[in-house]
Amino acid sequence: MRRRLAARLWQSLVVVLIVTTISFVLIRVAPGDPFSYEFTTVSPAIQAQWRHQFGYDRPIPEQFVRYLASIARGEFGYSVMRREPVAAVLAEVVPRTLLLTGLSLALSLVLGIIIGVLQATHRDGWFDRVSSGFLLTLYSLPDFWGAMMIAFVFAYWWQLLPTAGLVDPALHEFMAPWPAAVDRLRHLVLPVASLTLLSMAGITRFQRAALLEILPADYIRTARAKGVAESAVVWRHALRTALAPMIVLLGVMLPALLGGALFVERVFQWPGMGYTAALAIDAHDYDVVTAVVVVGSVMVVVGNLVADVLHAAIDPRVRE
Amino acid sequence: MCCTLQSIRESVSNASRALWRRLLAQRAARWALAIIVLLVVAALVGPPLRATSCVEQLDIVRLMNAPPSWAHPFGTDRFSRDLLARVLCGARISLAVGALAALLATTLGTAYGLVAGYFGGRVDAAMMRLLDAFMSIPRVLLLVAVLTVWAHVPLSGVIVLIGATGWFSVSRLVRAEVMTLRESEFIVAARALGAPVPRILWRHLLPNVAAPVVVSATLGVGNVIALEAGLAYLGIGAPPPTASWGAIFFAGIDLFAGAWWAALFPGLAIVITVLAFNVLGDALRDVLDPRQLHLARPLPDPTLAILSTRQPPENG
Amino acid sequence: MRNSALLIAAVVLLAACTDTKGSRATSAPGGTLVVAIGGDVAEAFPPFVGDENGRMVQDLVFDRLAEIDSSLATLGDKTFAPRLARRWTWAPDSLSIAFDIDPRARWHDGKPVTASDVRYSFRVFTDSSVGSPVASLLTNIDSVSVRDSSTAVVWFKRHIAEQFYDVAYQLVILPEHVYGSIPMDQLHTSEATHRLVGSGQFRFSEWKPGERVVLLADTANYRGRPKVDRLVMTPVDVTTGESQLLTGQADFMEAFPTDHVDKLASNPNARLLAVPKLGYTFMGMNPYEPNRKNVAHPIFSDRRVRRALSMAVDREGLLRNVFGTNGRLGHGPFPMGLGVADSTLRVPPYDTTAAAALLDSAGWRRGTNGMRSKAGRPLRFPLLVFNTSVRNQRYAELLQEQFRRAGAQVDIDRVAPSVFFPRVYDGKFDAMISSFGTDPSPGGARQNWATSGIGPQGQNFLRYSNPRVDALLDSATYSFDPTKRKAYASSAFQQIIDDVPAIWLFDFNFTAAVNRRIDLAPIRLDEWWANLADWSIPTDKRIERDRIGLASAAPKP
Repeated sequence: MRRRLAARLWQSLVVVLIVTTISFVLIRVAPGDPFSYEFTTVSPAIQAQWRHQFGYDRPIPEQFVRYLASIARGEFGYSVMRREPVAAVLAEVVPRTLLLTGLSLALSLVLGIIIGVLQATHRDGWFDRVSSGFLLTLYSLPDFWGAMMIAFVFAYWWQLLPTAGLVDPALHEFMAPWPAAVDRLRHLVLPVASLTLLSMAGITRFQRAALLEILPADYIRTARAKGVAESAVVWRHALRTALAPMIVLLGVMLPALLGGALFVERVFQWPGMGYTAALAIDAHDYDVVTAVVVVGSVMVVVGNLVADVLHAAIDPRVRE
Repeated sequence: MCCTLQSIRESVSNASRALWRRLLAQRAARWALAIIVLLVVAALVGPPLRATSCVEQLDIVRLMNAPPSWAHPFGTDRFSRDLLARVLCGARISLAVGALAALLATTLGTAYGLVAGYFGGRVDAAMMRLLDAFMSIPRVLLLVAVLTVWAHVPLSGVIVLIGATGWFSVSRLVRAEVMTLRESEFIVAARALGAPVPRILWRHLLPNVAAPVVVSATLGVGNVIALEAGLAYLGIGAPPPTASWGAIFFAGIDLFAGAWWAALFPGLAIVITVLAFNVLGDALRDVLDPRQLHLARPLPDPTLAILSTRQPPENG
Repeated sequence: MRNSALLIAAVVLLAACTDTKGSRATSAPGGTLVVAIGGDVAEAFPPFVGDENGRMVQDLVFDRLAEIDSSLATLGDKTFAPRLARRWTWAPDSLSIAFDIDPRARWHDGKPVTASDVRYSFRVFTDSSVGSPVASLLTNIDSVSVRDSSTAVVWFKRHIAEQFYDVAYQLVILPEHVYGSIPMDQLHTSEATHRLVGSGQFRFSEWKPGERVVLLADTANYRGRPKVDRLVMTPVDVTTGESQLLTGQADFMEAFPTDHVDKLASNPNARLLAVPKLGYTFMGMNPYEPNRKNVAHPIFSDRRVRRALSMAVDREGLLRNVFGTNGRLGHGPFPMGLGVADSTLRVPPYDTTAAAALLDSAGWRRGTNGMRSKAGRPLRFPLLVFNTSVRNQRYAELLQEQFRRAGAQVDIDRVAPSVFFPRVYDGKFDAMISSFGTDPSPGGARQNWATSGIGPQGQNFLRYSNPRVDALLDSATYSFDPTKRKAYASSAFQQIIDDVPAIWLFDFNFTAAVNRRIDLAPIRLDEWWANLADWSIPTDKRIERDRIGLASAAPKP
């Protein structure tokens, strides 16, 4: 078990290295650099000087090695647009996206399990049909539609909740602790709801299918026939069996969730990793873009690792 | 008896006919298929049949944002273009992008999976690590970053990029199938007879992994259409006046409160199409359960069973 | 459109007649203004400022030596109000002006404003490694010297009519003790330029890119404190901005969507405010090939083609489609609010038959598919437009169709502003839609249309060059007689129009939305925020965020 864990850790490190290389190269080989797009009134000689100062004139392999070295030191470069080190930017925005995706993931898992179990235990009943149809439609919508529709409704018709920002721009820092927390929560509701809607559909479909396979119908029939309190026994068994595939799914859902977060953050202008990356892309702030892609991928790799470990812990069949 | 080449061939062709019948027996699948056929026909013959062109601005002062009428069943957009014609032309773009990108993704994924699954060992380990890396990068983030940073990307480039980032799950599935098939008698026999590797992959293994590939491709079309609509939101895609459904939808969305038709029709088109492909893909998956095709094979690892029969969402 | 002209006239009249100080109903100062801005603040450090939002921050946090008044007259110095300079003295030969710095003037960190700050500012603005877009507008100033700590002398190369205006309008004064220690070529990447220390009525509090900018009232300001406590600028997209205005969460939005303007009539929180601005949008045609700078463009180097394309466009129809009834047609290379604007000039009329004839005679004949070509080359070109302007993009699609009917195929190229501007500066385009936001002086037109404006220091992107226009614009700039100025300017403009370097699309005219509880000060034509310090909120109309008071906005983690 420990050797397996060590092997997985080692493999994850390799994966992270590959991901960093890909992201770095793709962005650095693009035409131009942060300085060629700004400050066009500055003479080319000065621009060349900045390029040299920030190392953009070195060959790409050398730039990459220096980049790795700086990551090892905990630095991720410099954001020319924001005039601060990228590490500081990350420290601010990464926890926010973690919060957003964490809440959505938790919510979608809980909802997914509940609905999936309900569907599987009452297979082909009215709830199963209706909710399956609804979820399939939801699953068929393009990524951000849910977000956009929600933003629209709350912007134009039912102005109950704010549709932009992390907190109230004028009042937040003057609120007492409780109203301030409520303010943050109010700004979180719509983004989390949108992201949850996106992922919930896929998770529930998966859960239902997995349960239908693992939860034999005759087991349920027998339990019912025996008159055993169905909810207690069936639910316990169902939940136990539901957990394992859910953890497997976690690893696959993470990249999807982060991608969805990009859209949702942009629609609601919620300043997490996704929105920051979007602004940085427009401003050709390459260090920030690279850092966000790398960190996002690392989050996925770590998530997969955790999922693997949990899965091994839960399902003895998987442990070799 | 089960696994000689001849017997496999026979059972496959018998199974095909049976599968087809089983597929059409499901009502949802019939509807989905009908809708898809209708859309393809509409995309092919619709634009020439419709009298007004999909780019002509008829009267930018008086006919802008006209509600649906006999002359313009879907109304007109803010540039006084006939929306029915636009949606028909958009069908061509969206369906083409969907089909081509899904085709590319499926091809890449199948090839990768075949190679990794067949060779196994170190080659497989390396390829899987590489695959893990690819799968870790959030797809949308990468697409947006690349497409924006590289500025001028034509529609063909968008198709290639979407296809090139969508093949990961397929390759996993194919690899899993190939690994179980690798030790089958007929493969062993082919190897012993000295058949070259490409022939083994192409002639013997490929037909047998057709099931997950076909399902993947079908679901993939729907996913790509949805993804492409999402990218249109970010301004990525075909330049005006050509427009995919996503682009038409976005152009009309801010008028939603007033001119609801400008966003509703392209929006419905997207949802219905993606839904149809998803339903068809689901039905195909039900029908093409690989355990039907491989008769006497031990039950696979439950995790893999889940992955192989219930494909996780591709949205990454 | 006549209504809009009347409205403009009314605003100008109001601006000219009202004294901005002292005639407001007195109530205790207070209130928070939330301004919804489209797009973020890119740069607010004065030498770097290029975008509107940055300019707004700059104008509120920093001061100039003297401030132009609402008439935007640029001749002489009589219409300028004292700012950092409480008075000024011309040398007898008019080649230098001594500015007497107001002894009450303080930087926001408490240190007094001195003459060496003026000298430092001039150095920063004209330094080549700083590359300020303003540098080319300061070319008539030779140097700035310090006579004593409160007297700065500005030395000029020539005595020209707008001599004073050049100093007063373009030179923003920066504190030497804050920024002076940073080498000039490090300023672009230094963090210090995101911490603004100025002398204006608003002090800088916070700037979080993508989230907000917060300015607080400077209570110890030598000109008196602003009537509001706090200004918060939040970058939002159009939909959110609109809903925030309608619900009262935001107080001002400069570009409220013209499609939804009718909602403001009955909305309890916000009302419509027509904000004229100095600027015009046009479709420019590059007479040179985009990738080979001195080779004539196969399509646009022929004036007949440019004129034909111009006549093929129904500019009025386009205006109605995009703006409804709230638009103002472009009349030429000048904004209509400018003193020397002239709407009697002859613009190519909308005449598709004449356009077709002209294209035929230029050798571009229609083929079987309806598109024109000449010697095997199709009449086809890309149209560059930046993707943050909804209006410009709409115009692009409308123009595409107009040209299609004339037989030209246009491919629309939408790019981000960060890609658009370098390409335009470099001449790497065939046709493009852009705007010139002009300053009040006709001399500003030289930046855009004179031969001296070609190159990195100017803004003559179309590389338009006509010696007659150069001479006329120079005469207009250097003339001391207002009537003659106008005559020279008109002749220059007519010549430019006749040369058809561009198609004049529309004049800047924003439909802004402002919260009803705010008492506005007169809106200056070139910058609506010029008198923001005089905007007030009566005590009986205040809402929660107005009652915060002047506590410092410490940024929350």
